[in-house]
Amino acid sequence: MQTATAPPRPAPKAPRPTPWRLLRDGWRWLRTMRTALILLFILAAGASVGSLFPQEPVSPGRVQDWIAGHPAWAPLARRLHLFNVYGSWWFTTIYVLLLVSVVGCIVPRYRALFRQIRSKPRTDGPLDGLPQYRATLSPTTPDDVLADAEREFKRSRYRVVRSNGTIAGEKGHTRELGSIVFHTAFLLLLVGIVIGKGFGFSGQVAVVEGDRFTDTNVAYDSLHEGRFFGDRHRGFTMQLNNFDVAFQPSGIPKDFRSYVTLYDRGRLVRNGRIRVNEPLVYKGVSVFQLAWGWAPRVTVTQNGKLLSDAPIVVLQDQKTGSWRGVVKVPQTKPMQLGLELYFYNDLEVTSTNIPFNRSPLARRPVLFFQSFRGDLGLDRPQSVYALDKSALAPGDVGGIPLGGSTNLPGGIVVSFPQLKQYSVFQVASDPGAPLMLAAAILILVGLLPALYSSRRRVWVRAAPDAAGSRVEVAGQAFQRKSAFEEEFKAIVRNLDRDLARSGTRDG
Amino acid sequence: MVNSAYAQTSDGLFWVAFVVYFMALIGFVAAFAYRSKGASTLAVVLASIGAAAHAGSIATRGLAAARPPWGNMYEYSSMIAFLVVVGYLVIVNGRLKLRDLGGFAIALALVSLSLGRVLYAPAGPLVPALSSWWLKVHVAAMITASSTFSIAFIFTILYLLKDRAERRAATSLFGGSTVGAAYAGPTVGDKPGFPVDYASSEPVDAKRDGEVKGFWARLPSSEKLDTLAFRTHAIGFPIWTFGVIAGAIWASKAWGRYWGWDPKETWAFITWVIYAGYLHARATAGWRGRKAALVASAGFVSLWITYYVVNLWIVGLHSYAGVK
Repeated sequence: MQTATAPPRPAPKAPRPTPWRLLRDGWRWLRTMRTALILLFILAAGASVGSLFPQEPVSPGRVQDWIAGHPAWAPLARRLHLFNVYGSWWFTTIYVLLLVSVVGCIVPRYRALFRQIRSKPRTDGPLDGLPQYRATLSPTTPDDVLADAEREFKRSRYRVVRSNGTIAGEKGHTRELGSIVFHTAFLLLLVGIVIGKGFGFSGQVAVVEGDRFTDTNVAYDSLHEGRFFGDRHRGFTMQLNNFDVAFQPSGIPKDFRSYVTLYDRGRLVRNGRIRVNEPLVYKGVSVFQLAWGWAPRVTVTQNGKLLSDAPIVVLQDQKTGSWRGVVKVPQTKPMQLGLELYFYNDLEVTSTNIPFNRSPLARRPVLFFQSFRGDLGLDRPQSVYALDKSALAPGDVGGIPLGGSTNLPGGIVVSFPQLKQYSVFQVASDPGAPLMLAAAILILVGLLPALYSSRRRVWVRAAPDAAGSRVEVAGQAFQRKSAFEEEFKAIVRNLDRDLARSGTRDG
Repeated sequence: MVNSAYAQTSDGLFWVAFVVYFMALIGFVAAFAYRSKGASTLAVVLASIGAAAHAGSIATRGLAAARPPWGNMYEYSSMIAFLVVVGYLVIVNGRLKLRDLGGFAIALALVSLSLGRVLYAPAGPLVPALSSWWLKVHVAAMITASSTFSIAFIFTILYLLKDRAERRAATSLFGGSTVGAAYAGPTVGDKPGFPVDYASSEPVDAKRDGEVKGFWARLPSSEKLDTLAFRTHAIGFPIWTFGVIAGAIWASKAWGRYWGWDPKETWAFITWVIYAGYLHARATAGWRGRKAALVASAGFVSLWITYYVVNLWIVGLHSYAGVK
């Protein structure tokens, strides 16, 4: 009665964009493959931007060069995070959106896969409409036909169901399972990255032979700590006993080796060797061989009183090949003394009187210096590798061969009694690494069946017939259809052979 | 350390391979243009001789430097060219029986060899960072994947060309004669004035394909090329994925971080993303076919950027200047 009296329904109005609806539509949009594809291409494009501009975390020096070279564009580039693309909000947004899209795709597929695996292939319904179909007559009974078929399907590792005079087999769920594992592994990868970045740390430290460093936040020359790292430095102490570097005749390095002793809470824990590609691992912290250099020991005395005696870490100047460093001696009277060092390990001079290193070996070590007098400005923060020359005046210059010394005005003697080497270590802890390795393995394990396996179904139905049985064979593949055509032919061939054999056996 | 006799042999064999490949290329072009069985057989023989010399060049290079011969750009380029030729000889010619595509493979190999020669470096040992088991695995995987992607790119480009030819034929079909349009074999063409060779052809959906005449008829059907392109990419992609992972493991052992957005890493990632996009595009309505093929081509461009542009114009840890 109600339907008869009900007024005609009004035409549906365009739905009002409520926040809920927007959210739902947005979620739907995000879940489509098309969106995922577009996000993939945006991700590729975004990543490429980072290779066009120097990146702050990788090469801060080149960022400064770029800014100096393009002063007009620098503020815009900085605002767009072009010098730190991979840490920028917009790059993060792209890959987070992509992963959300992946989740949106994957979760319904988890449920569908569960249903598929639990549901058995149907045995009722006509077979002759299926993509692969063949009907024949067999002299054997339907039961024998079905038994042969079951054996044949099981041998090809089909999951088999038998009822209604029909055998149905299905296989290839591994494809969907692999695809799901592959996609899910990227979420795991992200978790690994977040854990590693959040709870890990990495630092670099230069250690001169005979010296040691302790894993604390003040020991490192540069240090990145994760936001949630707290101060969980392990506190071990590593002493560099000896550093070896071997060269090919061509001058390229052959091997770097740092021989170290590890102490923890005053106890000797381990004697070890660190090489490139062979880090030392202790308490989840890995110590890597990163670089090396020379450390000439420089002593400064004034009127016979020793004021400074230390190996000086010198850094190689890529342009000239000389090694540069500084010595700061605030105790000299009446003015403080600063020395800029130019060290050559194998000094040779060109015909135009330009010094250079002939080889990477310490064959003819000479230390040149430029002295400065005045106020070193040590009350201001400054680099250990440079002098603050704002209150310094240049003084004498000189060169000292290894084992020699030179006199400066004011009773000051600078000597170069010993040459050592230093080793630069990268010290890092990444608690996300095992998870990332697991994710990487899952990515590969999932990828192979996702690409190569295919889901397919086969049926054999046998009905009694005057001569024996009427046999129908049918098949259907959801992927790789042409490959399945071949497989189906082989199944039919094998069945025919089996049936012929059981036919002769019975007869 | 460096055995100069082996090094010289390697360089000599490189040029032998180069010249013989070039002759094979001429043979393939002649075979393609004049449909000469003899020329194509000769070209395959020449390509095989070239590949043998090339294998000798690579092996002696490894013996000269006493390490696997994939330590610098020259060696990678040579390896990629070699694998492309071997891939053609064994799989494209041997298994798929698509002998006519040899010219494209040889041409690509010659481009790779020429680039390698431009970047030539004498045989020598590696800096310590590069002597690692993971590195050998990483580079071997990257080279294999790149060669596979290169062959896939040939299929992709040929698919795009053939697809265009088929579309044109399909549109012109309704205006012209439809006689003989129902049959067009995958590898069978038609000389002007001669009827289609029905004996070795198979029926093709005339509405879709039309009858492709002339030059493009020598290529397999677009459908077959598309399938081949997809399968080849599907082989290359997991190898590339594995290579990137092996590289990350090596980086974590050598530099103490598995991923640093070094330009080479970045471009390997971009290449991976684009090829992943291709594999998805091919399964997405509205992207299948030409659009997907264009994505795959973009992947190949990105692959070459990863190999050459990054090393030559962008500085990074992969510049192999040694440990700084």
